[in-house]
Amino acid sequence: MILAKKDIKSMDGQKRIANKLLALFGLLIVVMILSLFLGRYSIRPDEVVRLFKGRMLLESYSDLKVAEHIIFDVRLPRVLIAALVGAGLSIVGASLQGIFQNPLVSPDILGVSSGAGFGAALGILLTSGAGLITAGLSFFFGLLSVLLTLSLVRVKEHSQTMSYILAGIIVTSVFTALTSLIKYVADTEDQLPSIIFWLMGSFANKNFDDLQLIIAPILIGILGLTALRWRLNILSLGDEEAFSLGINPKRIRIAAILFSTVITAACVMASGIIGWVGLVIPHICRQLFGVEHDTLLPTSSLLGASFMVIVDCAARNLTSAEIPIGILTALIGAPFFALIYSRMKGEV
Amino acid sequence: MLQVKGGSFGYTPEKAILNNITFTLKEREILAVMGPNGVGKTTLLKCLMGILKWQSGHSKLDGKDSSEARIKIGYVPQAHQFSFPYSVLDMVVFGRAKYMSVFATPGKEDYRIAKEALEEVGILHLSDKSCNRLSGGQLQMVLIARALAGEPRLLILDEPESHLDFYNQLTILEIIKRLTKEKKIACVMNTHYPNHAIKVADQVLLLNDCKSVFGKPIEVLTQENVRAYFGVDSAIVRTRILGKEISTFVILNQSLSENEPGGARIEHKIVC
Repeated sequence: MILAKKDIKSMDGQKRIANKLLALFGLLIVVMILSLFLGRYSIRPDEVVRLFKGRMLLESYSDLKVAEHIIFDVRLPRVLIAALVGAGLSIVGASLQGIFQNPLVSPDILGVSSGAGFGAALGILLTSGAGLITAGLSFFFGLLSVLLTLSLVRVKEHSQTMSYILAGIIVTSVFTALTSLIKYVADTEDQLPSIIFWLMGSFANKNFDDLQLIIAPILIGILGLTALRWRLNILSLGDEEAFSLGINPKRIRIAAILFSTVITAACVMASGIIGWVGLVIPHICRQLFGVEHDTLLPTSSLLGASFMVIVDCAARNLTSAEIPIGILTALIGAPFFALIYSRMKGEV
Repeated sequence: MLQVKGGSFGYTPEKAILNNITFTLKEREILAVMGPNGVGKTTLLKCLMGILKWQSGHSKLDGKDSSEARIKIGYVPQAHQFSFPYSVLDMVVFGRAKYMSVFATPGKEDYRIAKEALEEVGILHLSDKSCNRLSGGQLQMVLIARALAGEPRLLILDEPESHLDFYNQLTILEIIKRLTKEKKIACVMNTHYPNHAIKVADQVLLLNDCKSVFGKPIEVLTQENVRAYFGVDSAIVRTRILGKEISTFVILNQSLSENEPGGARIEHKIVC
């Protein structure tokens, strides 16, 4: 009898989580639609509705030519990219924090951001622009840096989390130094500013081509991590306990790291290095929805997407010159994190 | 049911920490592994679970090599804080992982089994509490329930009663004893308390650097063995309290050998 009652209670729990996911999804949609209206060129909501209707009915309105261009070629791809990057970085943060049993881990722990950053800087140095070659080099070096980290770890037989983190620090410092070297030799008139702006992160001047480039790796990564989400709980107990619970911690960890790396490299390729999101969003979600990775991963990605769209909206609307988004995520993220941390009474 | 034959293991090739361990354990029996600190008690448990591989010899569970029979072994680690404060029910459901495919999440049946395990150890009312807000005794129960949720044939416990008060020590021991008898499983536990071994264990394995003895508690924990393995003088006293015959292990003094007159030794060394 007692069991029967409790069963009903746990079913309620599942329903509650489904409701929360639905609410977060609704929030994301609302935020995305709102950010289509907002910008230097003001477009009225009814105009946006007309434009979308027009697209679906394959009609075009001569009075809204400029608005149509701004909505579909400028704002829509930008909002979608921001949402994808926010979702990607947040789910990676949540996953890696679980894998490394440490809530202070962020997506760049294994060196992927510094590697991808170096690749982009190299691309700008070689081609003097942020074209396809730069993006390709960025993605390639992002993947390469994590492979280097993993190969350093394999030297040690007992692959404990500490050796992953140390290997990540080694690889990060090498690529950071190489990036500095490129900055040093880059042309100060033209290349150096674009390297620096690129490294600060931005969604400016993104179009559907950029979206096409990142949508596959980020979605595949998110799906992969979501599929592994429950196993991450068990990894977070440590290798020996995971093994004693009958699973193979090494294999699942490598799979999760590879999915995370693909996502992060694609994010950096699309928008430069954007910090704090992958650290702060999982923390907020742990406070709101609990620590269990089954719910933490989907909630983190949805909330992360909304957060990034909002911050990007602020980045292009606060001042007439656009603020690099990496600066804003830190400026908003850090105080927010301090607030949560103090409310948690120091308990991480 | 559990057979260990000639099991040896060393972390370095030069020095084996476990040497030629041999014993058999039947269904419904509890084995207490005893020995001084650093002698390889935890290493032995890890070898039994297959976390570490025997360098020679083997251990078999129901006739199968224990690394293949991993799914039938439930492990209860020492109670510790977790990086993330999972709820008690979530923690116990983790015990079902070995029956689930990589991409699966636990279903109704898994939750039902987890709740049964919680009821078995008497803490179903703690289901929704966070694991990091439990007392040491409660957390130990959660870990036992988690192992039970995996429906083991062999239960391995690493010092289950350490850091607990008298009352909780007894509770844990009683639960272990009851489960072993009722669920028809075998149980291996490390302990530092001879009286606990006498109270619940059917067999004792006494370990030291190069040798081991195996047998019934009273027969193994003799004056001579305890002096040789721990360097402590002791006695087992039989008394009658409230009409009940009770055997109690009493620790007397650190034993002194003739060549070290008057000096109390900090470390006891056995000569191989």
